[in-house]
Amino acid sequence: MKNSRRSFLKKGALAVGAPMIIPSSVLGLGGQVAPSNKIVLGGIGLGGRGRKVLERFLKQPDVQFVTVADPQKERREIIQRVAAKLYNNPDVEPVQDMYEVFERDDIDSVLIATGDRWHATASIIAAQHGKDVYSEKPCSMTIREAQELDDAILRTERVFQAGTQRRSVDNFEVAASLARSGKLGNITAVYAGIIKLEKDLPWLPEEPLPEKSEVDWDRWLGPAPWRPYNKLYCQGRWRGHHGLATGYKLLEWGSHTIDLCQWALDADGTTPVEYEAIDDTTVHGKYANGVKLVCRLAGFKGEGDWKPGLGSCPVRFEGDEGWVEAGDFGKIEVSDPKLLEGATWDPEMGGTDPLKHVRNFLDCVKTREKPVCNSTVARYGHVAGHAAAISWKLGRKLEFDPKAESFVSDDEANRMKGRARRAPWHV
Amino acid sequence: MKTGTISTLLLLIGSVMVPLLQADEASALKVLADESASLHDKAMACDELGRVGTAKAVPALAPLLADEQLHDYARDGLERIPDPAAGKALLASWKDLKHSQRIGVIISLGDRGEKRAVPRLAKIAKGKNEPAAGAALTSLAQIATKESVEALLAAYAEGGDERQFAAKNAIDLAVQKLEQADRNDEATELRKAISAGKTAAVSAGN
Repeated sequence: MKNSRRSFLKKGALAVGAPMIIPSSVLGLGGQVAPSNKIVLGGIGLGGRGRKVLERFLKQPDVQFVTVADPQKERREIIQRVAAKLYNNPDVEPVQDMYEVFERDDIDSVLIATGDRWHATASIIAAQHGKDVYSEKPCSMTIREAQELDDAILRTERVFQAGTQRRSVDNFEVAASLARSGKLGNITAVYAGIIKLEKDLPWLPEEPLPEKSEVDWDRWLGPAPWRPYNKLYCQGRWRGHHGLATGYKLLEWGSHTIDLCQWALDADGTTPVEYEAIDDTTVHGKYANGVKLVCRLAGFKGEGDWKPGLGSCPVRFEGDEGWVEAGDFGKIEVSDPKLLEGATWDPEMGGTDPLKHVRNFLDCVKTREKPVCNSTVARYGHVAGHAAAISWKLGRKLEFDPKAESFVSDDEANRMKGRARRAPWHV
Repeated sequence: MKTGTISTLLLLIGSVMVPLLQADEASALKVLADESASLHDKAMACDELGRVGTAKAVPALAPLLADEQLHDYARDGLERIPDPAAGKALLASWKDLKHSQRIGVIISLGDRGEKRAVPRLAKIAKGKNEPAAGAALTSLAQIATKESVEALLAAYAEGGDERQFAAKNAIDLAVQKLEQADRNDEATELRKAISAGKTAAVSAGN
């Protein structure tokens, strides 16, 4: 990262500027937020998904959205218009450089919804500047980034919520609770829906660089390695590209569904100890206690061996006395209807809806408790996803030590745990 | 297919891993040496060498540190090659590099934990260039030796506001690294030092 331009010694001082809204962080002790104050929010790289999450933030009466940073002029101006329309706030300031958001002393929290390449780096820099962070998934590009992110959040004592919002969606909560309750017996296998794994795509053809004021390509790339400009990257076609996206597509859905499997198993502080890719649609894992993690094909059109009509991002938790499946359409399928006696959930709540997740984050910003998908939860879920993807890439079974967070006796796999950030970005 | 056949043969003679690695390294080196290979293929060859490269790959990657387009890939490759020759090459590359490339090398030296780099990093951490100093401070924290920690404290004590902000972040990182390595006494000492340093700095500021 580059250094903060703001005065370090004056950090947090009321004398800095004269904000219209008193930042809640300056009213509490030791970085704690006084519960009665509004949480002042900035946005970083808000595209389609980012807008959806932002809309949920804007529905909260205790949020004041004040600025958005994006290296693309068109996108930051869209957010300015969205905020003006939905929020009746014409004063949202669009800026090109995310540091202009991080360095504002009146901002408490940031919503980060850039492409994958920026999630961890931006989250860490934000935390170093004293911001609480809600970051879209996948929250890390590599195993090392997952570790660095968690370490930074713990070090800076910030509140972090990973945008793996399905932990805050009713039917998934019921399914995971069933697994943890013992009603399914001893859990023997958990299944995480993924899309098909694919090799990295070749670079798109080079196009002339646009004016920096329209698209700042250097900032758009951020910590990702250099590649020639093509406008399609900026229109969402970065997915599947080396250094811009991660995990050969396994973490597209896997960051959600593996997270849910970890939750169902109460395995948030660990990962499987073994990974083996069967083919482009299936990767097997095994926890130290023998429980199987099966990442297997699912799809928007009901692909894969799942109960029909569950929707995207399905999961299945299987015990020796029963099973449960849930997906994005709000449904729950069980081996025995009696398993759901007394359970209540809103079947209209879709798996992509972050409303409750956003609320959980905001509540934690006030209480300083850890959100349901805090950085440590995200660390292990993402490490498992990255390790499974590395197993697929190498085409061999890998043993993994969850304590050391390293592959056992496999130098090549361990050398895939991290990748250099492009200068000047560092954390 | 050719690689697969060779691999099967090597498996039969009971020597799997090293020959397999060498086979991948050899093809990646071939791409780097091929003037007609595309920029994309060369970039991916650097990535491949980061995974399987040995000391043999270092002479091919080192000159690319000064390449405007392949710098990131070459540096990443060298950063991940465990052989000490890769660290030496990063250190030796300095004079041929542009400013932003030097910052990249500073970052890689820290990520590799190159203790030999500490004197240079300490000097940069106290220098006039803020981005370079910030990167050097983070690298000194990553290395977390007695000497590198002393350099962090010096930068914190002597720096202006911006430098102190970076130094404080780096010191916090160093404390965490020391604690994670069960070097708790050193971590406690560093915490004490920063507390004292902070008080002094604030007093001076007043």
